[in-house]
Amino acid sequence: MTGSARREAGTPVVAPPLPILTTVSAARPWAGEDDGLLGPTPFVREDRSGYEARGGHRDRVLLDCGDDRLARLAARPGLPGLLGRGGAAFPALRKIRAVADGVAATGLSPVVVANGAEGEPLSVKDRYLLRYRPHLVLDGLLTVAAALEAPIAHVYVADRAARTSAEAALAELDVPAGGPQVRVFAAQDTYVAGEETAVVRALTTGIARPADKPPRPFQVGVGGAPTLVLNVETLACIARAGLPAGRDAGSTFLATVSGAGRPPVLYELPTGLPLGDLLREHLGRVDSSADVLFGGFFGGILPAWPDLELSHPGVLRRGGSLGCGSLHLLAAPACPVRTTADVVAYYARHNAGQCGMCMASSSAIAATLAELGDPRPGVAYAALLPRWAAQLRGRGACAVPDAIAVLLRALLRSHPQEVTRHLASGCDECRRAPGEPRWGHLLASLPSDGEPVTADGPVGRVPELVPVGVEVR
Amino acid sequence: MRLRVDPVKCQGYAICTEVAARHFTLDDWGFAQALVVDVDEGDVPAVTEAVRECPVRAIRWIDGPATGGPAPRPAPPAV
Repeated sequence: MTGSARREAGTPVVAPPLPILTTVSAARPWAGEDDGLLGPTPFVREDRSGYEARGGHRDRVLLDCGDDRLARLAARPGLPGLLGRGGAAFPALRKIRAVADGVAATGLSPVVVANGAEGEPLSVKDRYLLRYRPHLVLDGLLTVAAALEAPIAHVYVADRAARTSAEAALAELDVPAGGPQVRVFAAQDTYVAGEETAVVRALTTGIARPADKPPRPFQVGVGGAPTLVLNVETLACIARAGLPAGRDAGSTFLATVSGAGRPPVLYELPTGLPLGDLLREHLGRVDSSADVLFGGFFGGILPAWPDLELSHPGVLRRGGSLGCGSLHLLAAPACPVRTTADVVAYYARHNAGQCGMCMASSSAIAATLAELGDPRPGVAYAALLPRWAAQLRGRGACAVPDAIAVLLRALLRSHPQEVTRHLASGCDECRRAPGEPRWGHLLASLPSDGEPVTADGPVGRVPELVPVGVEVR
Repeated sequence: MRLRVDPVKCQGYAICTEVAARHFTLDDWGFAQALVVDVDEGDVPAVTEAVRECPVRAIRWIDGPATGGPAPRPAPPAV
């Protein structure tokens, strides 16, 4: 849509230099009635006393005694409807119950894992939670450990500052005797290390690569034991639902919003917010010609429909996936074909390197998409792209082939005329794309140690936009 | 009975596509893809032959109870 208008004008487009490694150093709640997931003061670490002053680490004690622990956990507000926040949106309570069933069937003690290895390059929310709200995450982890009577709990985290914060929080907490043994595990900082079978393998053997399924971790997990792997935001939601001022476990979600030449912001949004409301806040206007890359690199590129509902079912209905909750905005002259090519180029380089079909297909599709700067009238790509999308579904040990399938399907469904235009006459934007790494402009991070944070400070309802630095690597 | 091609193991020997052509095909990169996931009773022998003939044992049946069914297995070898 944006591209065709650009093309008709026939004017050469000056490519703005794309920033490399965008640092997210602003965070904003939407209209929180409690401290939410971002915490009372964004980008300021909450320690044990701060968290306990808000009623944290308390409700767990009730859970810790007597029978029906799972029923008591399930009674927390919003728990039955809570969807996992790692990307797959699997119902959290069903996963917890599946582990309990695995324990009943095998007689083995369960293992619980807080998964904070945030591999999605456009998302910073898991690292944020572990860096600045470690006690909220730990409370959630210890809560599910208590509900399952798990003797061992792991905090699985790649980001160094997040790991330091989690270790400090554990030291502050001083888990009582009889409580689970909690260990912090330094995960590899790779795209696939956070996939749940990769988590299980890393904790068992040190190799952070996915395994084919079944069995899933709730059946055969760490050391063979039924294992609950929950994303750290999922755990934070569970803990928050137990706080005195807490809200329904699924009422808000963290969204790393980047792109469109604006400073990226980590928002806490009400689940189901219309996309138009977010655009009005973030861009100051509703740009209906823009596109959105959803869910890290996973959820496909869709037009920025103002009525698109920001929830897992809402994005799914429109042909994409909310995934880990990140939104990367592509405003003119960004080209959806080019961004798809950039992301597939990333996957061709950053897959686990173990499934032949994934390695072969990702490199071939990346090469094909990278060619579309020049016209390809004689090649049957128009038929091949949907064929490849269909061939990749459900095939991989992890979801990388599915991610490529979602990207291709969303592109063909939302921008068929853009694809046709590329095949017929090429595209300046695509021709200008650099060699590897093509995806350098699609990376977000939190500030590194010692780097000044220009955060909002104490947060009002709708604060002013804060200019933030863009770090060039 | 449900069928699964383990993508980590499959090397594209294509023997499955010969012994059970209605159930397996090769994708555009030469790796095996199951055409049918839920296999009819009558086709089980053909697919079982494919399971047996695969040189890298990449094809397996994945039936069993949804939770707690499979016995613990050793972690897969490093690749």
